[in-house]
Order: sequence, then structure tokens, then C-alpha cells
Amino acid sequence: MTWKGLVTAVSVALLWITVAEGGERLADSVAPASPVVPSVVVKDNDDQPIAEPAKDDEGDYIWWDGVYNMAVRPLTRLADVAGDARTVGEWLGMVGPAEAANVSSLDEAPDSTWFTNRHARTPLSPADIARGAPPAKAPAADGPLVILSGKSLGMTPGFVMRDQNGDRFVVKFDPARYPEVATGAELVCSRIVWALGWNVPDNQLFLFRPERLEIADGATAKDEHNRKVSFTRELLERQLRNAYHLPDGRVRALASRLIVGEPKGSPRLVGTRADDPNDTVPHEDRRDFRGLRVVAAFLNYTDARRGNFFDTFVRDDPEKHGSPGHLLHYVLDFSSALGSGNDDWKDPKRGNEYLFDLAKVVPRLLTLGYLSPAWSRLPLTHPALGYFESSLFDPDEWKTSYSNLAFDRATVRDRFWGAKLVASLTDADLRAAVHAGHWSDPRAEELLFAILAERKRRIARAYFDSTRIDPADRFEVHGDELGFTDLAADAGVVDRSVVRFRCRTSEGRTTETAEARCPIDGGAVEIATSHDLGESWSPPTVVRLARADGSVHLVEIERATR
Amino acid sequence: VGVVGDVEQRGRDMPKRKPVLSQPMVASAATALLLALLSTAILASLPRNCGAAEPGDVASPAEVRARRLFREEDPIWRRMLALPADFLELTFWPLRETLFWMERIDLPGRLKQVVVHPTERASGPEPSA
Repeated sequence: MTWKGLVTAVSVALLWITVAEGGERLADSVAPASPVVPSVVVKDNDDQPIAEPAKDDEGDYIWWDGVYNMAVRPLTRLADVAGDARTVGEWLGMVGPAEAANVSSLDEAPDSTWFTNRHARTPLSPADIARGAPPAKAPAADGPLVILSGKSLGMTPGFVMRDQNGDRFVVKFDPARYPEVATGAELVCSRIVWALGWNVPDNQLFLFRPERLEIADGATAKDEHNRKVSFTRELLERQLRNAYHLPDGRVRALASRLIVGEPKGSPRLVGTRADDPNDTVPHEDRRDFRGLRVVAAFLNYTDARRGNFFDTFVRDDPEKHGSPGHLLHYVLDFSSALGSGNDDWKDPKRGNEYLFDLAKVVPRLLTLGYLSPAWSRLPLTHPALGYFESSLFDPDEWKTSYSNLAFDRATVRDRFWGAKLVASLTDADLRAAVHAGHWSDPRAEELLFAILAERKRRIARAYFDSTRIDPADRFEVHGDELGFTDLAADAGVVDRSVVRFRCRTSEGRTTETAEARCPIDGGAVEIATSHDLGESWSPPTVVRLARADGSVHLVEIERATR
Repeated sequence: VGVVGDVEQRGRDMPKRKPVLSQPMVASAATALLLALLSTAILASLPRNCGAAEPGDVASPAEVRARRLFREEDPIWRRMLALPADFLELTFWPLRETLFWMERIDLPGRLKQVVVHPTERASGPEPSA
């Protein structure tokens, strides 16, 4: 084909796209590729009123999701010439990694429909953390519990019910042979993830007598082959037979309050939702999505796949049909976190390897199993905690069950941000969250706290590493000085006696100090941190300041990384 | 050399016909058709606003996008360069639908039932009646 032919073909195709999209998306596409970032954004405006989007149920299908993430997407993207060029450029060090697009000039993720700065901005009390997501209210302690349907999503058995107050809950049980494993993981992890900023359902422990259960007329469920069947008394009894009962006959369950709004399915891990005009940052480029990887590693939330993220459409006027609204984005289902594998103990392989991990399997095959992985020799931590532990935990090497394309894009800055969130949890906070698991054995509670504390320490060591990024943060202006905190020293992973800071002001004055404060004599300060008495220095952080209303304000934080 | 010369000679003797469509035009049309079908398929695969009519008090999607504080959009040349990758992804559509179907009907469970069920019946206890 001649070049004229090619030009004609491309022109016709472009014209087609223009007509098909009413010119709207094409007009948008000529906007600059770089994100439009205002100076300091505290809250994003992704809750503008929009028309109701369609339900997208592709995320319900786990097989395709796994194949797509592990094989289809990586393979097909090889044909993306510009993407390949970028990858080669990164390998050669010609360009830096693609940073998250929804960060403020202070390198933070602003509040949005995905994420709210809770504990990180204004520390919650341990009691707040133990209470969890609002309204933090368990089902009614008395009265009938009417089963409306079987549970449609997830791996564990359960049902949707209505209590006497009219509130609706998804109820899930512990398997009879694994008491407290799944419900404990749900209760603890949902509190931590909520406190750190993501939207989660209100999960409460629910102990009830089976006699209170009634089945609504027309209630349906899915059988083992996903066929729609009536929710019968026999089906209920089968579920209850497999559920853990306390010695007094009550059933231990998790009651998860139904999320407000119209369910709209799971958001894609890459790209945006075409029918949500508020969704203008590809999900794999969201700081709050990439940074969640660190929190997921902390909690061994290996099931962080598309199906466990969930969108609902919240109307501006809930009473008015057809009222505009916006999407809210949730993180769901922690019954596969910690040492829980939904309906049993999680295989200790999970978190250490993908379900199918060629790089790990081939050496074992070639040596006929001689090179057995360390995780295969782990002892059971505790019957309520499965194999959850911290001795093999390496935050960088931690893996979801199968590749999560948004997590895989997390850069040093994204991981630093995620680690800041995890490190913001004090021992008292962690103890409060762990206690919310209602463990019958105090030893399980103590063990879980110790494991989480050690995993937190390892995260701080990995992501506050001064060879990769400057761990200086929490900048505050005090008169003519800029104060800050060395997060590594604060987390106890570096001895304060070996910490030094180098400050370079915009006037060119350079000082070295053991105190975490730098003089201000212009519009910017460049800071570098050393964890070996000044022998080597971190990549610099530049803090830009502006004078307004007689005081000096932070306007930009620019972190270099290695 | 003689053969070539003969061929050239024969070619000269043949009456000249003006092609209705030149080769580049056919190729262009085919490519355009392919690209158009591809873009239509990609656009059709994207979710759309559902049944509820768009209320009049909602700004147009373009206005909403334009007002967003954070926006990341690729220029058109970048999208065009990614088209081969998008096309390749479309070729996995049959696999996607097959996996959906297999999971929807729980194919492994049904196969297991077909294989194991007769064995269970044969080795199970005799009916009491």
C-alpha cells in the first residue's frame, strides 16, 4: 500500500470514530497528555452529577479476570509501539517511571469517591478504628431475620437478610472446621482498610440463634452449578450445618450491611469507565489504587482482584427515580485476607507466589522438587489464623493470587505513600483493630498483633529506605524554619543517632544537621537524608513554599527516586 | 533473456485495459473498513449509560470531563499507535466468552458430576425400600 493509501485509510477510520462518538471523545483527546494538576487539591471533584451508568458484571468472572491479567493484557500490550518505547526508555534510564496522575502538588492522594484521608490526615482514636465504617451498627439483637436471597457474589456461603429494623445485611459464616478464621479476618481487615482511607462496607460480628431465621416468599439462591433455585429450608439447613456454632448453639457470622446505592459492578483495573465522565484517570494510574498494594501486602489481602472492588451509584436525590448522582468505589471481601482462604486456611503459597508462577515452578520442576520453597515448611501459626506470619514477608516480593495490573504499576513514590498510611497505625491502633476480631483465644489476638506489627516494620524498612527515596515527611513551617520527620527513624527501623539531614536553600546555602529542620531563606528548600552519618545521601526532596497572608505555606513537594 | 524478451513482447501486444479500481485504492478501502470495524467493535464493547434517560439537569459528559481537576487522556496519535494492541485484545473475545460460559454453568463441577456420579451410585448404599 502506498503512503497515500495509508493516509486515506487512517483518515476514513478517524472520521468513523468521530461520527461514532459524536466528536466528543475526539475533541477531548486533543487535550494535553499530561494531567491537569491544580496547586494544592485537598478534595477531588469526581462526584459531579452524572446520568446513571450501566451495570458492568465482567468482574464477577474470575477465570477470565485471571487469564486477562496474567496473559492476555501483557501479551497484547507488546503490540503497543508507544508503550514498548516507554518501557525501553525506562530500562535505559532515559525516562522515569510513569507516576500516578491523581496526586496533589504535595504528592498526596486527595479525597475522592475512591479514597478519603482519614487516619493519615487527622488520627482516629483506637475506639474509632475498632468501630469501623459507619454506621457501625450490627443487626437487631431480637426479632425475626428474614432471608431475602442467597449471596450472589464471593466464595463463601451465606445469604442476604432483613432484620426487624428493615436494615439489610449480607451474612457470611465461618466453616465449622475453621472457626473465626474468615469472620475474624473480615472484621480486622475491614477496620484497618477503612481507617486508612478506602470505602468498605460496615462489617459487624453477628451471633444469632438459627430459630430466628425465616425465609421470604420468592427468595432465590444459586445452586452449586450457578443455577437459580428457590431458597428452601433444606438449603438453609445445609448452610447452617456447615457453619461454625458456638457451644451455646448460636451461629458466629459476619453481618455486612448492604452498601447504599445501585450496584454497578466492579471497576476495571486498567483504563476508565466509559460511561462515567467523572472517571478521567485510568485506574492503573490512580495513586489510591497503586498504593493499596502496600496495605494489601500488610494484610495479606491476596484476593485483591477486580471482583473484589465494587461500584455503586448514589443518587443526589435517593427518593427521585432517575435522579443524577455519582459512583462510589468500594473494596470488598476480606475473607481471603490474613490467614483465611475464604472457607479454610489460606495456602501458605499465597502471598509468596502467584497461583501459577512460571518463574517459581520451573526451577522446582528442573530439580525434581529439591528446591522446595520456604513457605512449604511453615508451621500452622494458630488455628484461628492459619499460616499467617511475618518471617518470610518481603513487601516487594509479596504477590496477589494473580497479577493485579494496577498494583504492578506502583512506583517507589506510590509505595512510599502506601507505607506512610500503614506506618500511621500506632500499636494502640493495631491492638484496637485486632481486638475487633473477637477472637476466643487471647493467644490468637496477641499473635496477630505481633505479626502485623512486624509486617508494618518490614514495610517501613522497605519503603522508607533512604537509598530509594528521601524518608523526610510531615513538613511544617515554624517561623523561618522548615520542620519535618524522618519516617524511617520514626518507625524505629533506623537508629536516630546515625541520621543526618542536608538542607540547601534557594539562596544556595547548604547546611548539615542532625535536627530535622532546615532554614528558610527563599522560595524552596532541597532536603536529603543520610542514614549512615552522611556517607551516602538519599535522592533529594524539594519543598516549595509561598508567602501569603503574612505566613509561609507549603505549595509543592517534589520527591526524586532511585 | 529470450524468454523474458518474449514475455515483454507479448505484454506489449495485449490491449491495454484501464483498471476500475487501482491497487492502492482497494488496499486503502480494505484497511479503512478493517479499522472502522475495529473501532466500532471496541466502542461497542465499552459500557454505556443504562436505561434511565439522562436527566436534563446533568451536564454533558464532555462538560463533566472538562471540569475535572485531574484528567489523563492520551492524544489521538497515542491511541492510534495502541490500535494494534487493542485489535489483538479483541481476538481474545471468543476465549473470554467461552470462559464466561464455563464459569457461569460451572463446567468443571458438571463434568465431575457426570464422571463421578455414576460411580457413587454404583458403590453407594442400596435404597432402603
